[in-house]
Amino acid sequence: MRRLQPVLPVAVVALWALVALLGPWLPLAPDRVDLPQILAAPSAALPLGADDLGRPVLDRLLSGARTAFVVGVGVVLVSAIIGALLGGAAGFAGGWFDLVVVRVIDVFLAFPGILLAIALAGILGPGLGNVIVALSVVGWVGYARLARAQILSLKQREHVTAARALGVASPRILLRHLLPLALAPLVVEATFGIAAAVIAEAGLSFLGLGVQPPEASWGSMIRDGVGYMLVAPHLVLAPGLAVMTVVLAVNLLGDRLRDHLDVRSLRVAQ
Amino acid sequence: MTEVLLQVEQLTTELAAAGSSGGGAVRVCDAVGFDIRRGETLALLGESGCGKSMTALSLMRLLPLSGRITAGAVRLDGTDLLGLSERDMRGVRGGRMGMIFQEPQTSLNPVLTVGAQIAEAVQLHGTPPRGRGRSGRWIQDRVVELLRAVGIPDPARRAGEYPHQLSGGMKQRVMIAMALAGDPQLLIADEPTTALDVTIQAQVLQLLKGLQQQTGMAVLLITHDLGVVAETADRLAVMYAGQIVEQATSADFFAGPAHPYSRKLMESLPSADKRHGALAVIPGRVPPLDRPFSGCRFVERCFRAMDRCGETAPGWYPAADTAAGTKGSQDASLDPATDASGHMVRCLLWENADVATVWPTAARPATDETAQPAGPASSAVSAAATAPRQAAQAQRDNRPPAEHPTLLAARDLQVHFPIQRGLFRRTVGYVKAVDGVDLDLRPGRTLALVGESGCGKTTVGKGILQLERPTGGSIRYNGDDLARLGDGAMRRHRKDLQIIFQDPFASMNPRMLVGDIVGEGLQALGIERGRAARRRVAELLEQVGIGEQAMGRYPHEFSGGQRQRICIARALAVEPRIIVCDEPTSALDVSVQAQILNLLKQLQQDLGLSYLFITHDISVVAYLAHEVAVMYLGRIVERGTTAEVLDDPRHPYTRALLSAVPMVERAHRRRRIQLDGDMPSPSDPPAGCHFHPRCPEALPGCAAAYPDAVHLSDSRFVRCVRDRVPNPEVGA
Repeated sequence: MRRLQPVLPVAVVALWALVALLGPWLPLAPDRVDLPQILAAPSAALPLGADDLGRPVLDRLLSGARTAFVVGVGVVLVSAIIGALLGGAAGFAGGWFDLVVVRVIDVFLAFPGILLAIALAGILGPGLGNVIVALSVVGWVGYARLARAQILSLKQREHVTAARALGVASPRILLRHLLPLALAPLVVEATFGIAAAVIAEAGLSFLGLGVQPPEASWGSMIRDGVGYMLVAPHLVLAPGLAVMTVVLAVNLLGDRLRDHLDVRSLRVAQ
Repeated sequence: MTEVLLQVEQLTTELAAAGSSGGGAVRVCDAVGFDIRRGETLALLGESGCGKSMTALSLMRLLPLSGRITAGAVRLDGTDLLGLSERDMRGVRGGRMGMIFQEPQTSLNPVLTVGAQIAEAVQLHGTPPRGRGRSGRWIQDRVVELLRAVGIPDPARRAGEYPHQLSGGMKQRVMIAMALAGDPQLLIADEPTTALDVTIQAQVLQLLKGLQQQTGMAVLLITHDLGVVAETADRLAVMYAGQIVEQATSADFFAGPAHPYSRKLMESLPSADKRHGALAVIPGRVPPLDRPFSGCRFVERCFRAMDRCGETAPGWYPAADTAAGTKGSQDASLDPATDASGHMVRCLLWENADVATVWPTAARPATDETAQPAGPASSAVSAAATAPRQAAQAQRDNRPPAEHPTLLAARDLQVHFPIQRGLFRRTVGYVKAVDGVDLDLRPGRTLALVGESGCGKTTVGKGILQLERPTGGSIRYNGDDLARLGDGAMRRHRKDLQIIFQDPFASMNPRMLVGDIVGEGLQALGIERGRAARRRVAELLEQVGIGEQAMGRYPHEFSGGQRQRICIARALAVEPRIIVCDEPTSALDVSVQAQILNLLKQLQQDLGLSYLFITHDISVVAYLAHEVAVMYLGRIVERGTTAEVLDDPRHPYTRALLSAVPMVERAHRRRRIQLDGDMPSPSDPPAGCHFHPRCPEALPGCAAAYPDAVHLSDSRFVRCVRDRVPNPEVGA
């Protein structure tokens, strides 16, 4: 039974990445204030209308896509690498190191993540880099826990024992025999992590803890538009729908990836 | 002649193809037909992938979603099962037809008590006697009665326990109790004892036989184990590639199997008689079933294949011992039911022939490879080349073990695992997996370590290789005590000590190429690098019969037997002197097992390897080992040469173990010594001799102290108080 190919999610994510990466070279003017156009409804000249300062919503939306992308990918990269290495090493080494890492993970999990991120963003001050730091500090624990659990079950496998019997050194066993096999679930988790980071970034920006004001972000666009929701609903709808579409597409892709990479389903198919 | 209970005719089942090959459906059962009479046991025999389980599931109409019965009829006592509505069929399942599965572990619901699970079956299918309603009280009584019937001690208490509190054998008994709840006319047992230890297997088979005599139910026994068939079945049907290729009474079949496949299957069984030759092998593998066949399905692997076999599909022919009697014409013989007691075979050799023309050498399958009719595919090893070597080998084998130098000596080896409980992981006790084991490995010789699961035999192997660090004792090798070496110093010895595992699927990294897997040791220990390493890997793959083109492929592209060969190549790469073989053939089919055993034997002769062969399979021991050590609960209870231990077992446990092994040859069968209960936990072994609570010959003094080793000869010792007395009355 062949599953429907996820054409639409792939297209959405590809478009998002393209806009984000090409952003600086696109003819966008997200900060151009045009007072006569304040709260203008969508028209031919301004496809998504203008906001409360007369800035073009479409341009700000595309520029915000870049912010979301950088934060999403950045947070996932930083937290997945730190988490996988720490968790993997803890699971592999065991002993007191494992005990310490597990306790640290438990402490972090006991905290409501977004509150910690808000506190951190508040302390560090607004800015793109600080958002990434704040979300990564919260985000690595998930990957660490997953990697540790994976490694714990994988290191009992006979191919690892065989490698030890052949005299293969420990770092090499971790890098060659364990992490590649643990990678699939981590990649799936990372995909969902991107979606979560996009939402978290929007949340922080909505609270004013995200990027600096002139720069565009979907979260801050929604915050700015909330006051004019009844007069100019497009100010909230456009970034809101953008967040929803991107998150949905990334999650669908993650589901698809999980089905594809699942080792168990491969084994059954034999 | 007793009445036919189940009649299966032309049953054809297809599975929608899931593979990437696209294409048509996989025909897992093709025109399968057989009868089962009341009270009889019919065995369905075949290797994995032959359609045995699918046949059983088709009878129960429990096929997977992609499965469909496309043709045929199944009649149970006159009821057409294929024509029943799903609702009526539910009444038949578990009622008139019960089923038990291979894995009792996964067949029970872990969150319900076993009593509740049996009660459910009673509720649905039980018939209360006249005058008693289907009350809760009656159901409870019936549950206890069923548990008692399947031989569970203290049934009222056991009914309140959860599956995890029961041992594997107990769980299988509970499954049988559930199947019995509806007083079935037919019990389908799908590999009921494959997951169980041999002494437990003996208990369960005995139980099934007893129940059958009491209730008069018929049993359809699905198995791959020829020994189990020989001991339990009245009649049998051999399945190959979705078809039944031979049908006979047990006696007729084991006196002279008619189909070339059946014959090779029998010859590939390891046993003591065959130890100086190679085992027969069946080359190739079962053909894929997703395409139509033009001729015989076995033709590519058959050593008697004729030109016609590739084009003409064989019909059913009687395999009569006498030339007299009418030869069945093709159309009349399509239905095996015409002569249910006759010996029928699906092979063109029998079209116009009798036993004297088809198997001229002997009615019995030859035990020696050299007596085989020569054929292009009869064996991987040429008989002529092995004959002189066999003689030399036989001579070497007969020398006493003391004449061989010791390569590795373990003394008082202990591996204890701490049991940790509570918040602070306090150590509250130890699992004494290995508790004082002495053994010696000698070059060019095989020491078999035999025992049931949980006796610690695998831990001994890992302890010797320092894959589990021993907690006590010494392992002398090459002037060093391996147990005291640090990891770095141990790495120097890694090259000499290798291991082969039971599961060839799990023992290779699925993300690595075969060439890298085999070459890993060369690289890790810095033996060879670059081009020289690649050349060596290619040589190794040739040596184990895989071929160097395998280097660029992934493990999942190979069959189980091929993977085990790759694992052997990996172990050989570093030129070891000792290989620990941890049940290397238990996960493989009989014919593939023969290939691997032949290869291991060949390599030992060529390279002078020393094997520690860990197994529970006595026939493999008889075929391959020079010395045997029998383990029970962390200790060796008896050790000696293979002939000494297998021909004259002295320890009561050894005797019980050997008597429980199902044997094909009637002459080899021993009087069964039934062991009660299960092996105790190694965290809390019984005081004194660990075996005394189950020992049929226990003396009052057995509980006092663990008996010391009594040396009966240079090579042999037994740890039993009975042998301390110079002339024991028992055991003579």
